Amino acid sequence: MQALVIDDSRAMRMVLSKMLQQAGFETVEQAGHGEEGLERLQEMGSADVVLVDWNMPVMNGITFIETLREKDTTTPVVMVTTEVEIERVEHALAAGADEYVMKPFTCDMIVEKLRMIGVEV
Amino acid sequence: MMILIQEEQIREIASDVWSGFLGMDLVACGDEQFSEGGDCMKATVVVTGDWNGEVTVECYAPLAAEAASRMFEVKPDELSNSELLDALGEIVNMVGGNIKGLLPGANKLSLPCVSHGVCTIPVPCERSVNAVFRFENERLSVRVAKWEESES
Repeated sequence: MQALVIDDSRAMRMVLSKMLQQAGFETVEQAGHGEEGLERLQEMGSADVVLVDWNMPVMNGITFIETLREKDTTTPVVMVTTEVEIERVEHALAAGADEYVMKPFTCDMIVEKLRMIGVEV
Repeated sequence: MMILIQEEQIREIASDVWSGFLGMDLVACGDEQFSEGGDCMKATVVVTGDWNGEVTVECYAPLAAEAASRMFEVKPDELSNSELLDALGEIVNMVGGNIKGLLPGANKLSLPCVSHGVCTIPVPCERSVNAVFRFENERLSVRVAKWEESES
């Protein structure tokens, strides 16, 4: 299994990558913003899940999801963000995110969300 | 206009981030003065919209290094400055984002700004709320400040 983590914080990418590896992902690729995430995903060919932050420079998470969904409606995408308002959750889901995790989170919360969208971890 | 955020709410959010996410149990303490000297680090996110102001996390470098070492999984003395800045930026991002969720109206959160500088003693006023914590021998301050209308 392989995953892609997109977050402008390298510390957060490290934390999420470690959690995904503990959950059974053999490969976890990283990107620092949405544009880089689209490039990385193309290089990967496919991903079993993408975890993406909302607020990032260059291309934010919402634009990333909208751009991805124009050509790829199947790759599971989980938004992992500090945007905690219900309106924001609805916005992300409307843009094409499959699930939503609020920071701060635990490994169990990530695993639970992945299972809810059918990712076998 | 009052700030609308209570010190207890700041304490709860800061504890969720530091204890729940980083495994560092903060102890609430009084509004004690930071010891003089040392490398102070300050991380800020700005909230704009119906409510305008900022959320600041302030501590000395050893505490930031302890937090960063848990995120990067390296020893504190092996961290680069950019890793320290990155980690503290993500911490204020989490704290600020959750505080924004308690504020009225529609608001946006800026990307974090982190710097080294001089730790300050905030002056209590109706436009700011400050919560001070201790982790072992290090102190941490979280401040929520509402801007004057003219600053917005």
